Amino acid sequence: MNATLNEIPVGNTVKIIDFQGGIQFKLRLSKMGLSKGMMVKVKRNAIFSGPVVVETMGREIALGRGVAERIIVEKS
Amino acid sequence: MRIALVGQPNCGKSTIFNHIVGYKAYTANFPGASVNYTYGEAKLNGVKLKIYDLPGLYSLSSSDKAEEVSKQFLFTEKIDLIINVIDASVLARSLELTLELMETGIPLIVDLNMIDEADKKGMTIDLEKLSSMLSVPVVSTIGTKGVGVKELFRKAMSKEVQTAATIRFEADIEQTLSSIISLLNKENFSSVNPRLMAIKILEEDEIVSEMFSTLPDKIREKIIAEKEKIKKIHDVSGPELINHARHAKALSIFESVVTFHKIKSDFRDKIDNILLHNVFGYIILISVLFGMFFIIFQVGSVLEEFLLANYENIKTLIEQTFPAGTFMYSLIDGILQGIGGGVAIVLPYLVPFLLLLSLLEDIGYLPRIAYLMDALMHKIGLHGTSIIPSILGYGCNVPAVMATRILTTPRDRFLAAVIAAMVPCSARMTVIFGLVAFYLGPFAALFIYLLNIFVLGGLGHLLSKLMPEVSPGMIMEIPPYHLPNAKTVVTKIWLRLREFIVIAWPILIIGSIILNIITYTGFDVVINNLLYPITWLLDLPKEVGNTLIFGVLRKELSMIMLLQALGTTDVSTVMTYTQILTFTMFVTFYIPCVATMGVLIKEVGGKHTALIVVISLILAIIIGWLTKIIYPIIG
Repeated sequence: MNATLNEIPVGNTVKIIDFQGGIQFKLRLSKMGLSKGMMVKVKRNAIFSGPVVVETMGREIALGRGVAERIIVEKS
Repeated sequence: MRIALVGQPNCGKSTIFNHIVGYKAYTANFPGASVNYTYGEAKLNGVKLKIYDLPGLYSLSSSDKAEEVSKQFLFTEKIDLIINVIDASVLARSLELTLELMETGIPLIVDLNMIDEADKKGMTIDLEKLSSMLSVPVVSTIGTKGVGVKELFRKAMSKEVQTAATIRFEADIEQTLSSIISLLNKENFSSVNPRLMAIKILEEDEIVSEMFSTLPDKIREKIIAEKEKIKKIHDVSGPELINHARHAKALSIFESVVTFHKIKSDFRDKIDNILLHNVFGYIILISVLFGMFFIIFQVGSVLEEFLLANYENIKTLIEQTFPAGTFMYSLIDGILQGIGGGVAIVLPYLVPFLLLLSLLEDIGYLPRIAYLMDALMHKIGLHGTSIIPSILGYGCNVPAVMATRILTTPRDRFLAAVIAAMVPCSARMTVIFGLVAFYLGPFAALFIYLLNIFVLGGLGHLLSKLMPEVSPGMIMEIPPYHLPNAKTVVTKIWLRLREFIVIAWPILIIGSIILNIITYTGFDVVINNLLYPITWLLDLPKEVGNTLIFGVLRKELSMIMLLQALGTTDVSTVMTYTQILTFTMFVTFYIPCVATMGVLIKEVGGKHTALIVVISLILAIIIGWLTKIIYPIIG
């Protein structure tokens, strides 16, 4: 089942399957190791619609809520 | 020999640089861009090395200013060797940059730094295997302890690193590359590495677009046909195609050189669970900021008192040598005030601030503040990352405005620069404490700070409504915690202090001289008349006009001059509390100082700077006027 990254509860690991955004957006994410097919673990979810922290390849990356909403993931 | 240190942010590159170069480092700007790099010289085995520490780069794309200028730098500055510093604990992600660097054809050596961190994470890396897979030498170091750094440079200068190896992608991409290369070779593109050119064409990188357009139409069409073919097969855009290829290659290398062993519980997660906690995180953040202010103010005021006492002694000496009222006295007094203001008022607050800030930075707390503040910053049309320049602004607006570079779009940079330039810096802090806290009590001073935050929030909200372009949102790495390294911290403070000494100080001294000459020639009366509309509107004594002009040169000067203009050291005898508060409010909000304006022009351009000046002046008049009306009612 598909969802956007911001909907995933903390502690779950999901696979990135698509992005809603232009090429610049994808490249910015790809630089941080977030590209199609990557597994990411949701580590934190801030209050007041704050950022989501995900871990991928040993790195933790904070993504603003607006950014996380545009990342489509597959729940396993 | 020219060596460039290249690596991703937080890889410990600067620690390696400091070990080998030490304090004799210089900062420079890339031509045409406000992006810094550091360089210095070292001598090893009798060979003179010129070492460049480039900014942290995630990749060599053209989408980011720092990345673009660094890439151009590598080509135009004839770098003999790249030392690719990698945080070993995040090897998988870092290898993509390594592959990109190898494409440049510049000889390269890989430095697996923080190898101890990798071990703590349970990773065992086979260095020999990595070296043979990449066909470049691989060395491991622990930069913070200096382990392996000498060995790294010894190896870097050895014969092994003479030629750069080529990394092969998947077969179909390689096939496309080789057909493009043979097409390019037909045209004798000898000055450029044809493989690099082919890759950059596939990537649709702007750096080759000009060269590409000089090719004959027939060749160009054939190349475009090849490119479209492979893009169709993979069903992606050009930039993504190569990106994915590198990504896949990096992962496969990573998987074959790393084995995992069992690890002890993760120390980082435990600390983050507290510092990034939805409640405790904010409590700690407020305590840290409050604690920082307390320390800076305590240390600063003790130092200031001590230094001012000595300054007074020197001043008495001057007065004995040159009678007051002579031109010579005005000139020397001006120079002395400029130097003295820097030594006795600015440095006592600036040095502890820079020290604490460097510590917070090195530990890795700033990105965590950005995480905590993201939601709030969205209310003013920005995102978490933009809090970092605002925090720097409390020390000095100049580095704060420079720090807006970390934001990606010009709109975000402008909004953050407006805020960074209007946060009450340590110079304004001296006015707020010297006048308001002294006469009206500390709570009034605290009120000014809170009011400032409130007003800037409102201003940001309003400006973001006028510039409705959506902020790109935060995409920021939260690095692991690091123990600060004394040498790195000291070097960082020194580099920043030097910036103050070279840029801001001369302005203070020249400003002081001009100011004394104005008074000497009696020109101050003219200025007071000119500024009468403002002083009249705010119900301030007419003599205050002059001090407002001086405040543009140096914010703390308006206070010193106020005492001089009013001819008393007890302001309360000639000004009412309302007037004192109105004056301080006005000085806190109006026009950024000359040094800040200088750096604003460099960062956001003349037009935007003028806009900031106008906005701040209007704000200051409105707030000053409201203070005059409201304070007598509630006070």
